[in-house]
Amino acid sequence: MKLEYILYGFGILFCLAGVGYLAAEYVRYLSEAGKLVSLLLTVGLFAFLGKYFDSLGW
Amino acid sequence: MAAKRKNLYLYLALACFLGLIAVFTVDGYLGVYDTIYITAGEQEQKIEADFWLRQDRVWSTGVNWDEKVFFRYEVDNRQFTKYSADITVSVWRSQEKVHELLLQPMSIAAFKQGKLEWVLDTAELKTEDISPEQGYEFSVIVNRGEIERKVIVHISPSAYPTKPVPATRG
Repeated sequence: MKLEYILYGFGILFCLAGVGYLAAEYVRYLSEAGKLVSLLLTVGLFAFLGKYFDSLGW
Repeated sequence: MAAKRKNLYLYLALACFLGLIAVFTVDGYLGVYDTIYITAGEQEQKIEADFWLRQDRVWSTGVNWDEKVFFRYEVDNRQFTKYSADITVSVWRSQEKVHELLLQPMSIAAFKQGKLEWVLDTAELKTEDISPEQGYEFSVIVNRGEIERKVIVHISPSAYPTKPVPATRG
């Protein structure tokens, strides 16, 4: 059971690293409007995720 | 009702994530991007597409008289259609064209790369009104269709002028 959680942790870390790398690579090609929309969507993403986990009782 | 709302938050979060991916793909990745590589002396400089995104950006490089500057121009076509444009490269000084380096059409298939190379020989820029003991600035202007890239080349006088080697007696 513990090993599974460790593997989940590694999976999540690799996913975040991959998404972070792609974001860093392509954010410089975004227009100013694209950057603003991305920022708003990121805020929305974390806000809705927070509400979801909140409703789960975390 | 509570379970429905709980899932709604999750779906909204997923929609935001998909929106982010869409913005990065459409606005960030797709398009036509160019990169200029300049080799002056033993150093290679890379000017990526994002450098030109801010308006009126000018790159500058330096070289001594009688040396050559090597340019490599790469155009990355990240579109679903073929990209075609005429590439012209010219050298300017005091708002006057002094030399035409390249005039060539370029056609790149979808999601492929096109490459062009040329050499700026500073010896060819010497005219009667130019003294090799002084430094000068020339602009190398690359036109790709409507898009213009400007590189300023500072040409410095050689710090150590070459001395003729005395002939050895055999």
